[in-house]
Amino acid sequence: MRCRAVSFRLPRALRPTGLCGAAAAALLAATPAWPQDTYKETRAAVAAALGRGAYEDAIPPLRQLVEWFGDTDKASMRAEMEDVYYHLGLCHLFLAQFSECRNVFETYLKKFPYGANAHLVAIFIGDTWRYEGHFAEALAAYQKALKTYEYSLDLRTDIFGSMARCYLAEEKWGPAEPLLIEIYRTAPDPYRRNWAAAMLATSYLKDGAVDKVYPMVPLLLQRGSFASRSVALNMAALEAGDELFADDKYRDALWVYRLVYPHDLLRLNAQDQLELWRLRVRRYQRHLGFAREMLRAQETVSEIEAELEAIEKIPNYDTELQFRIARSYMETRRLREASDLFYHLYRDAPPEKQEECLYLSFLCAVRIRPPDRCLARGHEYLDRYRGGPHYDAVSLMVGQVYAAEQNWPKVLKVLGTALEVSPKHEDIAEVLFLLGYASFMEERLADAQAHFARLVREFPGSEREADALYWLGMSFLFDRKYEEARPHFDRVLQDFATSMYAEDALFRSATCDYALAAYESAERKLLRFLDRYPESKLLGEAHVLLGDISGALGELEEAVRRYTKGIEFENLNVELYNHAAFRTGEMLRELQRYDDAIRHFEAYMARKREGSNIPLAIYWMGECFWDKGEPERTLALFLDAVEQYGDDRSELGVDLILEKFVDRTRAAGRAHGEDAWAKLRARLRRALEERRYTLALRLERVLMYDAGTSDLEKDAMAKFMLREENLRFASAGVLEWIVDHAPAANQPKLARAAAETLIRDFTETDYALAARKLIAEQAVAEGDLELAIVQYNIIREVYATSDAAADALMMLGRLYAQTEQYDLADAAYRDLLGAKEWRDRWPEALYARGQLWMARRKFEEASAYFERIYVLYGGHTAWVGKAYLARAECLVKLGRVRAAIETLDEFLGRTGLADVPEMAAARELRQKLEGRL
Amino acid sequence: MKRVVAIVAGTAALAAAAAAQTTAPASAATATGAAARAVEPGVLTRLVKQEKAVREVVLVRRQGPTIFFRLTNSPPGVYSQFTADEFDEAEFRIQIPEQAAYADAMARRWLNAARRLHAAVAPALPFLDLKQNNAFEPAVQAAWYYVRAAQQANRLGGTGQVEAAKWLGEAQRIFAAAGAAANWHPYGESAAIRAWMCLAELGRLDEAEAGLARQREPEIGDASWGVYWLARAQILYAREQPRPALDAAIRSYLHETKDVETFPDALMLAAQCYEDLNEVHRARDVYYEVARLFPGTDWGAEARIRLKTMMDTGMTAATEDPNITGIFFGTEENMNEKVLKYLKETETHTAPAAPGKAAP
Repeated sequence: MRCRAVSFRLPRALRPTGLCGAAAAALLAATPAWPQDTYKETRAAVAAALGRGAYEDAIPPLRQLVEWFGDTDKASMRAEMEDVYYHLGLCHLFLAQFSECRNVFETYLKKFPYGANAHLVAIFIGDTWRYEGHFAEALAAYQKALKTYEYSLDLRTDIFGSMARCYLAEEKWGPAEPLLIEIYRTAPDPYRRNWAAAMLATSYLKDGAVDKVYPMVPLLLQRGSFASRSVALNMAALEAGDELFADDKYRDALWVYRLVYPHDLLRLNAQDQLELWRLRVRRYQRHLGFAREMLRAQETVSEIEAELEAIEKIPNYDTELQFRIARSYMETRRLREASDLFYHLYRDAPPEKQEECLYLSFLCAVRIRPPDRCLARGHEYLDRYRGGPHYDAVSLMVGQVYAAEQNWPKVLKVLGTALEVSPKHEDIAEVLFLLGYASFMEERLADAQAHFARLVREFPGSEREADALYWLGMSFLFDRKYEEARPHFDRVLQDFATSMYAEDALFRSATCDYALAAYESAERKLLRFLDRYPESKLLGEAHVLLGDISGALGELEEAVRRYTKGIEFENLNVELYNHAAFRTGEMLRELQRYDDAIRHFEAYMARKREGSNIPLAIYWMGECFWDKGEPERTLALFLDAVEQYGDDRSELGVDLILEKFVDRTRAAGRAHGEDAWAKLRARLRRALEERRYTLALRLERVLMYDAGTSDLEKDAMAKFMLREENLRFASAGVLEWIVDHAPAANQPKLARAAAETLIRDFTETDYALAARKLIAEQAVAEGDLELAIVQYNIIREVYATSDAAADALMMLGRLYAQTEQYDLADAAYRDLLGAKEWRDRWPEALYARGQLWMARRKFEEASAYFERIYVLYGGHTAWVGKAYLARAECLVKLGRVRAAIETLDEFLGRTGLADVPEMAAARELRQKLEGRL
Repeated sequence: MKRVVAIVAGTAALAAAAAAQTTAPASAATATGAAARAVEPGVLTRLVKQEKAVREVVLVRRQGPTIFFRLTNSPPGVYSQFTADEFDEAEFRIQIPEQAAYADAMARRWLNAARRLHAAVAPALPFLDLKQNNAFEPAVQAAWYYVRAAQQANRLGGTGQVEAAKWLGEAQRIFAAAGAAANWHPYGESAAIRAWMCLAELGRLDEAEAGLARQREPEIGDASWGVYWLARAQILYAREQPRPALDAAIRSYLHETKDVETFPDALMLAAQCYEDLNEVHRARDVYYEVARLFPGTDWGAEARIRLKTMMDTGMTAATEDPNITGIFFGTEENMNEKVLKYLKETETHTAPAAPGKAAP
């Protein structure tokens, strides 16, 4: 056992200031004799001096009293002289005149071995030896005292402490330890217990016996304690912590490091305690009778002064200590603590350490939920250390966290910036993958394709290659670019056949084949898929797609068989389930297997899968009965369905049934028809009585088409329907009717409100399309181009393959051009030119693009677009004429008059264009140009 | 009615104070004559200014910042006044049974300990704003012992809870009085915060929260840092917000690890929050830490009980989220194994041993 760090110093108050004991004695001998006052005056002088704590002044009168009455036998005087000797000894002791003190106290013990203070005097004698550094003599004196007198716990603790100090001063840990343990166990006050614990802990820490230290922790963590300002304990803990840390024993290191006080706090504690103990000394000085306590307090004052001197010599270790504590928290997975502490260090540490601290704070926060803290610190890093040593890692992780949150716009922003700041990003393949994936999720398919393609092209062999290939294929697939998509899926199959993507890639490749009408290839792939992946989650979907293929090939029986198989899979997406179910029914009907079709729909209805469209099934059953020649059953079925489902405004099938009802009543023959309409009217009356407004509105809408409904009735019904309060009850069909008829009834606001309700409640249905168009048109008319743009954008996205989407793109081009957003306008036209379905609209789009260039005075570019029209799309005569004329105008603007005339000549000479309206303008322009040559 | 009474042999400081001599406030001045007035009890106090001017007076009462005193030989009902900042030091002439209280505390006789100290410091409680006084520390200690007594009573349940509320009330009053020392003692502010914590424990969350909001938010290194954030954590937890409570508890012990009066409580609260947030592995780690570092204490015993339950029910048997055991962490500790070993080694010590009997 070692205990090097335990220091012992003589209390300053007890140090002979510049004088050795002998010299002090000489000085005393030279002290002028006390003037021969009266006994009473001499006693009064003693009391006054002791009351002031002026021990030097008290000695002469005390000595005078000794001289007068030291050898008296008078009992009353002996008692007083015991007190005189005692105080004389104390005065010498407090003045660090140890030898004199000892002489006086030894005399005391001879004269008063059973005196009131004899037990204290015996300890003081030991103290004088100890203060003089004669530890063996001191120990002997303490032992003698213990043998001779009975001590209270308080004093026994003091003696043990003094003895321990003797041993520690000579670094004799062995005999000191049991004494310290005894004090630790039995001391009657926390301060001395704490002192013993701190001494023991210091030694245990130096021996690396940390398990012995832990039980003492509660005692070591007491405010105002010895431990809170002990340099030795702090240094021992710091060294022990370092050793544990170096040995990767982070948990122990953490526990030990946390015992270390920050440097400044250590000094502050010592200063506070010094003030406190000095105050105590002053208080003891004011009261006689606390000699032992005062000596103890003075000794503590002296120790603290020594601690303060030692603290000043120790370099500040706070930052490194805090850093290691934070690391220990991190290594023991206390990530919240680690992150917060590193962050605190980042704010407080020297500049060269800050970057690392912020990085580590972020790194720990990555694993903490919710991710707010991580993102805040990540962004702080990215903002403050743009291009810093950990910039790449942080940017990627921030991107990954956003990806985990499915916050794709943020992924794009963070990683997009990361690539700008760090074009050679250390994990560029991962960044590109995330950018591609986020773009895909945001339906920015062109961007997704660009990122995935770059990854595949520039980083072959990267861990993300298979992922990139698959998602590249997917982004083309979703962009309906099946030809571009397929090779990527095929490459996944070829190069990454064992990857997790292989299964899906085979299915998607087949999907591309199907979309490209390569039915046989698609079928082969799907059959291989079923064979190779019998446990696949896509089995249902594969069977449905096989059904689609058979359907496309006209093999209806096989299609029915495959659809039926597909429907059996519970995990089949409900949209595909409905698709397969209704296609099956339709095909059975087409095959004139009406009873099978009816049974099929009955089974569909019985299955009641969530998301099933029961009214639509009834509709088709009704049609089958109709085809079977059972119009009554059809109409009865329809009427029942209306009754059963008519109150649910979200059931679109009911509106469909009612629309069909009108047709079927007309074709069913007068008797059946009139009977059906009569029943419908009866239901309307009942619905109104029962306040079933949704049903009532539906029925009124249909009754408008009944030949038996008079104009008066129609007006009354229209008036009833065209009311704002109906909107919340109105089905999609009724809302559409209101959108169509409210403007004519001079209720544009109602039309708008109905349109908005339709959009809100039936967002992606065909009914909403009309509503969106209405809102967009009204917005254009009102000059609210922003709203119009929003609506047209939704139309082009939601109804992507419809003609309405093409119209919307053309409108968007115009509106963007009108608001001088030429790039967006051009993009809209470009999108229109990208879809083969809209080939007929291409000349118009090209012409519009040319006009955009003209608006920007880029006539060369504009003329190229116009030229493309009459070269490539000659059949579109309306646009050919416009294109010739526009190109000629561009050439004129470019100063190429001759070329303009040639263009006009070509136009004028072209057959089949005689009737186009631009012909006259072309002639006029040519004539004008001729004059300029 | 205002009377001026000369003070014999007043020191310079007291002479200045004497300029403001007056009769006692209303309640003391109701008697019509000096003979009818009883000598109002007070606390004999030695007041010191600049280490020299020392005077013994009896502090009788206070009204706001004004402290009324009488000289030991003054006639009844005649008082002088001063304010606390006029003196550098005050020594109440009271006997503080420090060792007896400590012996009680060692034996976990918290209530005895609290009452001993409380009785001694009670007359001085209104005057704890006097600088460098000798009653502040024992007063805070008394309040702290009351808190421990309340915790002890609470564990008994039933009527113990009624008792607990009583002791918490006592603690709250003493802490609030000790809060007046915030102007001179580094722990004065902590005492004021402790008073709000007592209210929170009494279920008076709104008052506690409002009171705490009026406290200054301490800076790292301030003596009140640990207790302030612990108080915040406890209130948040009582309001069933374990996540912010955890953050606050962590703030407490991240920068205050040297105060046994806050550190283990903050750790225990954090462990509880970790449990509530279903981060059971972290809860286990923190309980283990408390059990190892605070053996033989109530905290250690509670932590051990939680650890045992966790192990018995296999709460931490499942492997941790691989994200947490991520690649950049170097430790390969099997914490479940460590905890089981610890539980086995301490099987006989399920109840907290008296600190006095604990081996080092």
